[in-house]
Amino acid sequence: MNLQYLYRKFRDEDEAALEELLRNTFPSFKENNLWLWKYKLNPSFKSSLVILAEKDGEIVGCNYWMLRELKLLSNLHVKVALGADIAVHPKHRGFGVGTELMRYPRIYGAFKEKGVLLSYMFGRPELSKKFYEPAAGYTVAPNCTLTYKKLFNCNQLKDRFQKIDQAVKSNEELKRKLKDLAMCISFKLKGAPEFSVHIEPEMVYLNEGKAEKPDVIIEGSLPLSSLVLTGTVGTGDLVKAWLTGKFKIKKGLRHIFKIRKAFKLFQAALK
Amino acid sequence: MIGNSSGNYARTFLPGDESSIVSLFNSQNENLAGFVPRTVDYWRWCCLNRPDVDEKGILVIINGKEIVGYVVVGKSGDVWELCYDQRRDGKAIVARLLNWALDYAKSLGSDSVVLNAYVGDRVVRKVCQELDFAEAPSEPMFLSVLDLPELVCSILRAKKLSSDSDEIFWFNLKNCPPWCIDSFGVKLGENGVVVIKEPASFSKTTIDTEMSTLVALMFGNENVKKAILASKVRFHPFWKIISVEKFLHRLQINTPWFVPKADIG
Repeated sequence: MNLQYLYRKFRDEDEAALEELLRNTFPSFKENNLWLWKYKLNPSFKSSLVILAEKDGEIVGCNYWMLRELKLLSNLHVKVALGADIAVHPKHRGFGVGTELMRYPRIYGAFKEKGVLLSYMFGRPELSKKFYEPAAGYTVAPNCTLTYKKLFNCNQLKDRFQKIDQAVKSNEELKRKLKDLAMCISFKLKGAPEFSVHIEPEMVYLNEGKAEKPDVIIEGSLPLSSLVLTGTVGTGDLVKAWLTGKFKIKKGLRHIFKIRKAFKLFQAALK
Repeated sequence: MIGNSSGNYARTFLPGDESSIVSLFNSQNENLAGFVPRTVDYWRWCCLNRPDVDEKGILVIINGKEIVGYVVVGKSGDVWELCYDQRRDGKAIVARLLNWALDYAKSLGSDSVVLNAYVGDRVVRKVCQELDFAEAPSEPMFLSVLDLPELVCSILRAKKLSSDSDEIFWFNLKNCPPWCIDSFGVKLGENGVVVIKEPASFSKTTIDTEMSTLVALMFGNENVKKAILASKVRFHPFWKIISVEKFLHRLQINTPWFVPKADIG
């Protein structure tokens, strides 16, 4: 355990500092009464299951555990704790604070005294091996859930491309790399309105609606294309999706590697 | 209040609907797991009182005096819960609920509508396809076992596992985190399942494995036969292979898991 930090349970006087940390970490906490609802109004709220990391008297990290029952089998319900809102102040990341926050209630018996058999959480798959598993023995849970999504407009995507554009404009290396990748890609996706991504030497932007003379036309489903848009899909997956017809390039197939390169650069820009 | 030819009519939520909604949810998801069993208190917290949800964002479909379907839509466009009576005309109910959800979310200026459903729910899938929704895997869920002996026993008890003669399986687990015990036994007998935490010189079948392998076996991420063949699971005496395999199979959680959005937080 890193001795610079003190780990302890939540006390009433921590409320304002904790709320501020959550607001700064998760934009959703800036909205109406989320803190009050999620914590204080939760019928199973236990202050002893809100774990805080403190340094020099300042709250720099938190992890909240929601006590609940989970159905494991059709005739078996067990007591579990849902790990939520794990937050560490940006200045204190990389010092093992998150790991200690996850371990604290396990090591100090907070779960045991409440008869909790399992803890679970929702997270990012890429963090599974390097964070969740070594920190607290998390393993992927079986899941037969599908998410269905329909976009009414491209506002969320537009915001993303505005951020990419700002990053490109302030980074000479990115600008240089994007120079050879100039093109207009039109997307016709299930679950979303038609839109196009324009890559120009010093500018990247997204337009909602039909593009006039696109270099590339991509058809497919929104989730797969989201992976393309975030640059997280590998060449192999892209080729596989293309071969199985989930992802169609109606025009400009020869640009496929250029597209992947461009979206990888976008991903780097957002980091 | 809007009716239709099938005798269903729709209205927004009214105080007092909670217990019918909760019993519909629990009965329709009877054969699934992975979610929080609904109680009125929990449902009020996770749906009705959620800051994103307004009472006007909950539509119920009624047939006679019975609630046969409902949807809880947030101002964000998130569909926190959708449930319908599968014995009725499910397609008509789901189509009505989802069309209403789309109109409601659009009227509030949401950018999208997002919902979770069980992968085997063909009715929701069909309606979503017709309404031009895209499909994606849901948020990945991760589990960590805190009390393995108690969990093992709970599963075996739920599966009503017993044995005519006393049979003991003793686990020696490697790479256990400090909060888990690395050695314990399970006794199966006429009277059911008992955990043994103190080693003794009784006759037993010993199972040696990694804690992560056992958890993966329990949650279906690892195949029992393959784990034995790959020596990820070793046991003694070897002639007990059939009973070890059967025992490990019984530990598996094989009910399909479905996570409604309202449970995610």
